[in-house]
Amino acid sequence: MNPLKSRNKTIFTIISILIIFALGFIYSRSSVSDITVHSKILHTLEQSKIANHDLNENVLRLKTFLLQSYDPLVRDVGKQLSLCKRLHSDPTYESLRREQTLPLLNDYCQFLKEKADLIERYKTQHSILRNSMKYLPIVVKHFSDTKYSDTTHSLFSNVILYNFDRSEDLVDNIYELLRKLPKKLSNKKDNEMMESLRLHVNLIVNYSVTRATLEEKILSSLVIVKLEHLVNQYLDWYQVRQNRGISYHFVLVFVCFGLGLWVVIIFKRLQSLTDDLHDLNANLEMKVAKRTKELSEAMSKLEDSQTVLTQSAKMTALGEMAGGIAHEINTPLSAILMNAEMLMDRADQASPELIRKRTEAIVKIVARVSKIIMGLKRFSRNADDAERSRVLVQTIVDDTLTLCSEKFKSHSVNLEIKLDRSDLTVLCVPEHISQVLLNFLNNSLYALKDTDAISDKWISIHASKQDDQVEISVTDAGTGLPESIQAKLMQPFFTTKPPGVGTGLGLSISKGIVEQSGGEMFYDKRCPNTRFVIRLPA
Amino acid sequence: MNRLKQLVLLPILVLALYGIFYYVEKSSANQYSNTEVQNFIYKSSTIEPLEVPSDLDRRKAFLGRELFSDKRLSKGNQVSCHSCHSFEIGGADGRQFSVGVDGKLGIVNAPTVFNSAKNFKQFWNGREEDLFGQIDGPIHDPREMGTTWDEIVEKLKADQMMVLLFNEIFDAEISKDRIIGALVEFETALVTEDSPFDLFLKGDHDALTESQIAGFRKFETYGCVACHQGQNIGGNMFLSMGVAFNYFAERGGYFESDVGRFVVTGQEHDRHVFKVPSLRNVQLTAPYFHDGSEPSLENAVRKMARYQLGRKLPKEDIKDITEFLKSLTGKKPKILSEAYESVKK
Ligand code: HEC
Ligand code: HEC
Ligand SMILES: Nc1ncnc2c1ncn2[C@@H]1O[C@H](COP(=O)(O)OP(=O)(O)OP(=O)(O)O)[C@@H](O)[C@H]1O
Ligand SMILES: [Mg+2]
Repeated sequence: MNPLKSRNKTIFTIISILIIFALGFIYSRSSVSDITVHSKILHTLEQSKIANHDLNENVLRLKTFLLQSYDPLVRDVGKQLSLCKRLHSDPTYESLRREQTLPLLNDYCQFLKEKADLIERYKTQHSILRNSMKYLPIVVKHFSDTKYSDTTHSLFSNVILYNFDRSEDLVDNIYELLRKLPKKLSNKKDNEMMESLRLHVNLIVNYSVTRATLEEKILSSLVIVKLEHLVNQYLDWYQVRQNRGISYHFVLVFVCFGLGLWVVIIFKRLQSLTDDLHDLNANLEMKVAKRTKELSEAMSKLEDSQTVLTQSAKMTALGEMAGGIAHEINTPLSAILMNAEMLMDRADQASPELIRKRTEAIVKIVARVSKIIMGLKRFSRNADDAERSRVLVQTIVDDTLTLCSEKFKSHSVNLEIKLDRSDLTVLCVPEHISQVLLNFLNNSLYALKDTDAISDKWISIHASKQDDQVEISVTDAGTGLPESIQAKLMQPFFTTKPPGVGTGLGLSISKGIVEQSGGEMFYDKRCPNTRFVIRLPA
Repeated sequence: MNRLKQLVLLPILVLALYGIFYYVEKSSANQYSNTEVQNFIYKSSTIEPLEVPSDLDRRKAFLGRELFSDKRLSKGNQVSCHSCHSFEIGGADGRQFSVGVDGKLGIVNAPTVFNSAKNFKQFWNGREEDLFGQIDGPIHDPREMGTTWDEIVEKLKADQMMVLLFNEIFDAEISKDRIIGALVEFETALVTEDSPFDLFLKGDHDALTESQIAGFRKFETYGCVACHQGQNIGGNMFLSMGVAFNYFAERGGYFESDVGRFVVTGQEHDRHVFKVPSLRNVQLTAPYFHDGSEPSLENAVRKMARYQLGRKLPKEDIKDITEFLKSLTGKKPKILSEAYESVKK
């Protein structure tokens, strides 16, 4: 379904060219091309036949004195010879000069020349014979009133007969009769006539024989046979070619049919393609709408999951703190327990002073525990619903630390808090910022806790006022982050912690939170230690 | 709807393709149908009037006229065709034997060039089929022009005028074939039309005198017409000289040229056989016969009667026949008197 791919295109072109060549080849082999030449050849051969026929006819007409002039004969012979010459030299008739036909053509021309020579001789004999035959009756008539009348008359009839039927008997008869006639006559005129009689009778007898043989030879000449041979051989050859041509013709028709079919199929495919296109066009808007809807759904889902994620991140942070919290609560509780036990043990002998001191301590510790729990509650509340308020930085930091200060102690990490002014306030949802700080602190602690490379482990929180913003930074003893990590730091799910330990969401969510609060958050590259900074509106 | 379209489209396509091939084939076949019908009808008349061929290339013929009288066609520029085939002497030279280059004598009498295109073969013994082949004869014959084509072409090429003429007429340079072409075209135009006898044949009965008409009758009845016939009154067959009596023995001895057609075919029956000469303009072409032995036409007729017919004709008949032969003298070919047409295109 991708016919315009360039590879397909070249294949397509090659196939087309091949088809065109194949068609050309078949066409050239089909009989179509040489029909002109064929008809010319046949025409010329036919003309030769006609000329030969005319020639024969004219020879017969000569014999019966129907033809007086030899001009038509000359013309017939000349025509036939020139046709022969043409067959021999004209390029049109090349197919007559192939291996099989050339000997026949040569034969034909040879016989034709022989026939032409025979005709020349025939003309000669005929003219002489004609004159003598015309003269003989005059001579015979001269003797009609003499004693030689009978002999001359029978001589004349025998000669006439001999002219048609050349039998030996007749010749003998004629010579017998001639012998009967006197050699010499006294009358000069008679003598002349007698000489003429002998002369012309002899001429007629001689020329009759030659003329008759010539006539026979001419009329039985194999010219026509040779010509027929040539024609047949040529027609045979042509038939073979024609048959081949016809089969190629069929192939041609077949191929044409196939091509036609092919074109139709292509048409059909094109049609269905266009139909598809139409359908596609019609469906497109619907689909687009659907997709848009799907997309927006996905988006909202994504947003949902983002909230879920934020929540889960919170919960993770919470979980992480759980140990710390337990510790946080456990320590005061055991302190309460210790004071309560002491009061219980010394209930009889305890001074009021001691009792007051211990209960004061218990109250103080309970207050602290309740404070911790309050912080926890505040932290776990969904921040989205929370309202922004102006809060002291000190409070946020204290609240955050309530949750985790024990952890630092257990890992012997020094925590330093340095606020430029104790009355610094920020406009924010305090739980959010606590969460951000908690994230920073967790990251720092993680980076510091298990390493031996850094002996002096510290974390410092610093807050200062910059114009109308408050800058809070968390710096730890680390030596800064490599640039490759810096670039991806804020990306969601980017983490270097082993699987199951970190989600990689901490910083990205923090950034989101800070920016939501109208502030900014960044990693401070210029600091030689690892330092994260947030700026919030004052 | 689409399906219907396809159903119609498929056969139409196939038919169209087939139709194209079919048409190509047919159209080429139709060009050559046997339309030429053979003419079976011959005029049985023995003699026909002469006519100048209508398809002449006049410019070529004029060039041929120039060449015909051009002595450069011979060795040392001594003779031209015209030297032996003079237009003033009926296309012959009036001698028994022609004088060629260096004063050499020929061995046969020069026949006329007038109407020679109508002869079925050329020369006394018919050794050339047509005029194209004939010209080589006198050019190379050492007793006639004794030269070569290379020499002639070279000589003519040196002539600026000739070069220009050939260029204009043939659009090509001088060559053997073009010289021959021009000469033949000219000779083909050398037809002596409108002899009194031709006019008589065409229906003008006053064209001949009484004696001439009687002569014609006798020419026919004696049988001269059996050999001298056709449009050229001769020139369409071969015949032995001396059918009835031995001409050569009575003349006295044999000459080189007497063998006749035997030279050409080597056949015994062709010995002493010659082309029957045309009798047109015979009055002008004395002396007669291949050996040029008979200066008088009357005697030629008498000899013909004896040797060819085996008869002795009365004086009166010979006179009539001679008179008739004189009526065969036609007008000088038009091409000779026509003003030289400008060959400029
Ligand atoms: C020296 C004299 C001479 C010259 C020059 C000459 N001819 Fe002839 N011509 C003859 C003779 C002699 C014959 C007869 C030869 C033969 O039959 O063997 C003849 C025969 C012919 C014939 C044959 C006529 C026929 O009816 O058979 C033609 C045509 C002819 N000449 C044309 C030419 C042309 C054209 C030229 C110039 C190229 C030429 N002649 C130059 C002497 C000459
Ligand atoms: C059997 C055939 C034949 C017959 C009949 C015949 N001729 Fe001839 N004629 C020839 C031949 C052949 C020649 C040429 C002979 C030669 O030159 O040696 C010739 C030559 C001639 C010539 C000379 C032409 C020339 O230019 O040299 C004349 C004139 C002539 N014939 C007239 C006649 C007349 C008149 C008759 C009738 C009485 C006649 N012929 C009958 C065959 C014939
Ligand atoms: N103070 C720091 N010192 C060294 N690396 C730090 C510090 N703070 C952050 N990082 C690096 O930044 C990464 C991302 O911190 P982030 O708080 O976003 O996720 P996390 O701490 O890995 O996972 P989680 O917050 O879920 O515990 C950390 O994995 C750590 O490699
Ligand atoms: Mg002569």
